[in-house]
Amino acid sequence: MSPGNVEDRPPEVRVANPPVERVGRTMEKLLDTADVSKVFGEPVAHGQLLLIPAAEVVAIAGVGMGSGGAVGFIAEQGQRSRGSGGGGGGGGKTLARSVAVIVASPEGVEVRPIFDWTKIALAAFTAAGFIVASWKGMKRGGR
Amino acid sequence: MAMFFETKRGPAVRHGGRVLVPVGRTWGLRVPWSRAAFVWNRPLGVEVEGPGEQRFLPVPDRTRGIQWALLGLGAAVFLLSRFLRKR
Repeated sequence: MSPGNVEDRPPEVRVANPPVERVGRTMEKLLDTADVSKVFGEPVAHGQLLLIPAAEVVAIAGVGMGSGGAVGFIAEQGQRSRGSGGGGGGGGKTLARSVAVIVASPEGVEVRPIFDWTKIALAAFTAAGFIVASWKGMKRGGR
Repeated sequence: MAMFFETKRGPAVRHGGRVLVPVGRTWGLRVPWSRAAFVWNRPLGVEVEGPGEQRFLPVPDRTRGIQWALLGLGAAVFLLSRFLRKR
């Protein structure tokens, strides 16, 4: 038998509006990415070298909730009817990309950049598309 | 809507008589009424302190630089061709 959601929400921290509280926690977790420890990794010692990886971290999240209710009158039954409902949803994403490695050696400290060739190739294709379209447009315009 | 910029220094790392302090910069956006947030966190550089040296080494984002250069080139050629066609 499953113990249910006991670990996630112990009885002593139960609140009147758990979804709102959970949304707040999620947002706090997202804003925790705004920390220098998230962009600089743990230093790695390798012989006389010390390597510190550096990355760019982007996090985005959004949550929406809504509720409503209405009261109506049923003429056949001569009664009033009321109803209400609510719902919510949300989503988010975290992206990280290596930017450089800081290399400390007995000779000195240097920053070695990391190239993301996939992103560069995509930008090159986009630029090439612009150039080819412009060239074709010029040829058409010249006729 | 609340926007924030922060420059934060990480814990110092000692190595070979030098002290390295990583520095990162954060740009964030919070939209309270829609419960949305955006955080962009990137490395700014590293402060190096050692015997007879004290300098700041920036961490350049070469991939981003090349991306902007390529997109700028494409846009420039496109705009130039439109200008030439009008003449």
